[in-house]
Amino acid sequence: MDGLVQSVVYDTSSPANIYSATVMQKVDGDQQIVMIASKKDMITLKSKVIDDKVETSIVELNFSNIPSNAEIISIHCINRCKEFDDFVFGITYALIIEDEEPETAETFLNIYSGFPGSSLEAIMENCKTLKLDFVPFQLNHAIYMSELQKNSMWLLSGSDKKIHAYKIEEQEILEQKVEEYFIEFEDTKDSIVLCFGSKSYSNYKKRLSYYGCETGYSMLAIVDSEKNQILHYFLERFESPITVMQLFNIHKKTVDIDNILSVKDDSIPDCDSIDEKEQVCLLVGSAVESAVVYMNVLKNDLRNAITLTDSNRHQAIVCALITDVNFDSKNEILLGTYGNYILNYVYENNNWVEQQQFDMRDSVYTICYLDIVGEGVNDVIVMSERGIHILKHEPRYIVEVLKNRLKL
Amino acid sequence: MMDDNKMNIATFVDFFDFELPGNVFNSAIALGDVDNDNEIELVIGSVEGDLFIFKGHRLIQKISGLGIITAIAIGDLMNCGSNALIVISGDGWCHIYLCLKFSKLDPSDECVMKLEPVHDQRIPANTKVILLGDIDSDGMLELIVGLTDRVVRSYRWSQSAAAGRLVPLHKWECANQIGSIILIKDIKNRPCLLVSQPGVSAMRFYCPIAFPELIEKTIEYENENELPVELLNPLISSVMVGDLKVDIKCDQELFDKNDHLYGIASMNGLVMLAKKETILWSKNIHQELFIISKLSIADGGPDYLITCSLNGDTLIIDQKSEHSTFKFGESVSAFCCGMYTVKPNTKSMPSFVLITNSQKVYIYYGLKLPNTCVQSLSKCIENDNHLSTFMEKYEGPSKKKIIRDCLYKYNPNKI
Repeated sequence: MDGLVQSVVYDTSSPANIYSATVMQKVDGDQQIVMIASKKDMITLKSKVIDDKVETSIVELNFSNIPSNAEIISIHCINRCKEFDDFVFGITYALIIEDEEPETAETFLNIYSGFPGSSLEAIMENCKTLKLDFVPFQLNHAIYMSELQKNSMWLLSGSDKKIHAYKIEEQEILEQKVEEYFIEFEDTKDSIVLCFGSKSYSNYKKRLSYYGCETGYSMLAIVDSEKNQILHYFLERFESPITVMQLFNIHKKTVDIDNILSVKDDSIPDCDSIDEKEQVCLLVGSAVESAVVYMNVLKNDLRNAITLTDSNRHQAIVCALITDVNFDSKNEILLGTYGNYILNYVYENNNWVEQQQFDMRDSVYTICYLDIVGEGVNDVIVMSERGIHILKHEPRYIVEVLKNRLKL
Repeated sequence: MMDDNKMNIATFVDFFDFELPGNVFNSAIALGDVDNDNEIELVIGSVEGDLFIFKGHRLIQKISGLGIITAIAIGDLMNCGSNALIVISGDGWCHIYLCLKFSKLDPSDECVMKLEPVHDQRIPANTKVILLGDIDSDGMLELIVGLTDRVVRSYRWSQSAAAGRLVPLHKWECANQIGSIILIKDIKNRPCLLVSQPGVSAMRFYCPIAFPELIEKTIEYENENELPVELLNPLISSVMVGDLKVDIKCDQELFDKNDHLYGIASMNGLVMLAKKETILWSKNIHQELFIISKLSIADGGPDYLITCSLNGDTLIIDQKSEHSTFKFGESVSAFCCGMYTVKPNTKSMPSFVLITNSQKVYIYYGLKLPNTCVQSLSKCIENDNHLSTFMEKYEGPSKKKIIRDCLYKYNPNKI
């Protein structure tokens, strides 16, 4: 995280949670972040270059059918189409009923969608609502195969210790039996799932799924996507709630400089799949213990674990981001902690080594890394107890990196 | 959140805090170079009689037993070329401290200078506000104090071979309680004192020795700019800040760069920019404003008016009356702003000092007004000859793609 400068902070009146941000991956490679600010408002960040300076402002997004007294809990979005942007947003929220004693809440799931090429404004208007009978936690999606077609399904973990599956059919959100599509998410060890996800490989024929529970269970399963059959199943138990789980490759796909200059390569990274030819790693972070990376899980299962030394020294690990912030085409691990720090671990000499820590002065709840300005370089967007922080790369340093690589 | 956004939120990127046992009067905080090392320190005096001197992230000196400290000033009162620290207590003691050692020769020298008492003198009790300024155009600084009994007095440091002392010069009486005292220049560029009075009015005094022909005057501001009459309550106290560095980018109809501008804030939430005897604009903030100050946020840029209200909301107002708010989020008992040297041997930075009711001092530095950010990457590329020539070949989207792929898809092993 060297050379990152904290440039702006926007205060929010109440803190975010770990499910407060989602990034829209557009087909042209651009990105946009959508965040829950102060429980009530959905916002995005817009940047313009004025007088040679970057000006970033908060733009409110008016998602329809969310009452003004709602408390938004989680948000997630997917792009259903590879040729045109076709975003679908899922938002969960609670309505507090104040008349009753004790206070109770009704919870809902809203799904917003449009057509390929629809603007965000149009999508926000087109809403379907489903009343839930549990408190929602993480909202996510996963890919399954049926009749050699890949399909995506909304998945939602909840206070009823289950992972629920939803499909949209004929303008309605319909709950599905999760075991019919994702057999690995049927049994959640009778505990609340705080984080879960799934990545496909072997051309979507197989998938790696995981979840982490409040009771400390963490699960990894290798599943045959076509048959919905578990091939391998691993369970670990930690001593504290699992707050963070992520599957990743260390080395990113690279392109030779000649191909970069010919602007031929226009592959967009597929965030639903993982490259099984590279080693696949699993990060598990918990509230009390140090985070662990299971290396090469397809080959070694969970036997080769590397502990991220001292990663528990700033209280609980709250969130994680695996991305390349130092431009070496290798992914680093950023851990956001309750104790105000972002920790940065890099993979060197077969070990995960801590590089820097970044003092955010407030508890860190989510970290994202995306290009909000549209100049080609990403910013780190952090949501903390205090608000929204934007950490920027020093532009003169970026110029040096570019000159070096372009041999100028 | 969204309402806040409409308010234009200003943010501080960094802060640190100190414990400060005791309560603090608002005139008992000063930012200035007390040890003459060209770095700016923070000095705070408490009601309990303790004087704290902070330098960077450290408390470097504490002096106790000074009575109820009501006012502090830093400046070259002795007119000897180095700054003195003037500490006045409510019971009428004026203590003067100097850093007697020479300023540090080696910039890497971390050794900390200590202030030593050089003079104590009895003056009339109940000082409320303090000002160092040249009221008689002789090029030397005088000490002006405003007392809670509506009296303004001035003193001059007189140095004889044996010892020096403060010599009383003048005494003026105000009609009402004193809010603050500022020194401005009149139309003919003569220095005069303005003493803010309740109900958005002021008294004007000249030094009777330098300008014997000019008599004192009560300024009732003309209501041509439609001041809300309901806010001009004669019982409401007001404060002032003078000698603003004029924003030359502003509308030239209101004022030009030769004008002497000053700001006024009233306890019921009115903020005004004034020149001579007219109010240029006024703005209702709907907050209890207890202090108005000024700060140049950009290096060498114009002064902004800074007002702080008791709930901690601090407003940064430019000379066009556009404002942004810094929400501190905790109630404050005293506030000051100015330049402060956060790290030794670095440039001082515009800073806010807030003292809370929970006995802590917060120093915020690195202020960012809404939408002030680092330079854009495209400008940096433009500034680099080789890279900008290279990039000229590519158009918008492919340029962005090349930058993106060069940063995030570069194959480091292939040459």
